[in-house]
Amino acid sequence: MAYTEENKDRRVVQIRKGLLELAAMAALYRTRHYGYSLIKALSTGEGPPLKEGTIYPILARLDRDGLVASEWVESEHGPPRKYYTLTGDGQALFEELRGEFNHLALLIRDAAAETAGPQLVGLPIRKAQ
Amino acid sequence: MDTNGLLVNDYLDRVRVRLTGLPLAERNEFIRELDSHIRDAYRQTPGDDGPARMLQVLRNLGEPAELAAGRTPVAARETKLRLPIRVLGMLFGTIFGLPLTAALTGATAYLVAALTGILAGLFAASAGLLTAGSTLVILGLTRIYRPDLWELAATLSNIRLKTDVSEALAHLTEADQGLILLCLGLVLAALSVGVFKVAQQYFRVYRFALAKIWTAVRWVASRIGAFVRGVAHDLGLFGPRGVVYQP
Repeated sequence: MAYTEENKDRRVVQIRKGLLELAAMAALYRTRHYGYSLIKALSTGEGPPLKEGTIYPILARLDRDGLVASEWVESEHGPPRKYYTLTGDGQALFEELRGEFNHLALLIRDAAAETAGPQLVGLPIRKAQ
Repeated sequence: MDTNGLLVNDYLDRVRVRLTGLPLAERNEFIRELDSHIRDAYRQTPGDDGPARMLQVLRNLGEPAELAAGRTPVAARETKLRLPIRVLGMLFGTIFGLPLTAALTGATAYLVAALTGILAGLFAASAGLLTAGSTLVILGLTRIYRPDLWELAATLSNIRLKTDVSEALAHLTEADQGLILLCLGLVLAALSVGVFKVAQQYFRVYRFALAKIWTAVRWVASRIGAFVRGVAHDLGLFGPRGVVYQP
């Protein structure tokens, strides 16, 4: 099957979905968020938008594993909102996952560097297959 | 309720019905959270107040089915518990379901027969009244214009009226008697038209009722079919288990 723009969009969405949990943890690391504010914080404004609803399964999963805590807070300007914060366990896990993510991000960046031009000094390079 | 309220309620209902694997408290909590999200998103989405803006908000949030599928843990969607529960359900279904189905089928058949009987009765009454009316009209005309034929017919068929009736009629001329018969006949014919109109109206009610009954019967049949297929799948009768539960 020929490569299409739609194909690209699907991959972009796939990557974002995969990383959304990590991104959500990052956003909740210092700031508390409710679902709508969290999805707004995670929106990059480029490419195909993620459905806002995708954040809720992630929050539910984090909640079930005790990685976030939640509470309902009345608001003056809008409806009552369910706020989430990262728990101690969540913060610890995030630190570990961030290391994993940075490793992968380096691999990707270096692969790009190898094909695009001069290599970055002092970073592990993976040979292109 | 305004259109936006209806849209939101419909949307949330469609999520709610798909959250079957979730405990009630969690289900309510999630619906409340979505409601809060929708109201926040609506406030912050630019545009005129109205359904178009609300639909935009709901589109951004995603399909109810996807939301529910993402929120329902896979373990709750398909657990090992389903098999014993279904088999138990099948046992109970056999013990209580069959007599119940038979009773329901009987009741439905009776209902349809009764409704059909009323319809047939109305049309028959209309036809009967028309026949009686036109007979009386013919008799009346005969009495007015050909009294001799009338006497002949009365003699041949040996018709005898009660004495008091015959005495009362004897005071009237033959033409007046004919006129009375004619009027009676016309009244009956008019009644027949009236009953026919009622029958026509009733026919529409009848069709409506039958369509409703048919829909209900099909719904019940499809539920039973789905249940039986589910059990058959659990028992591994049709290929790999679990295919039917894929969201």
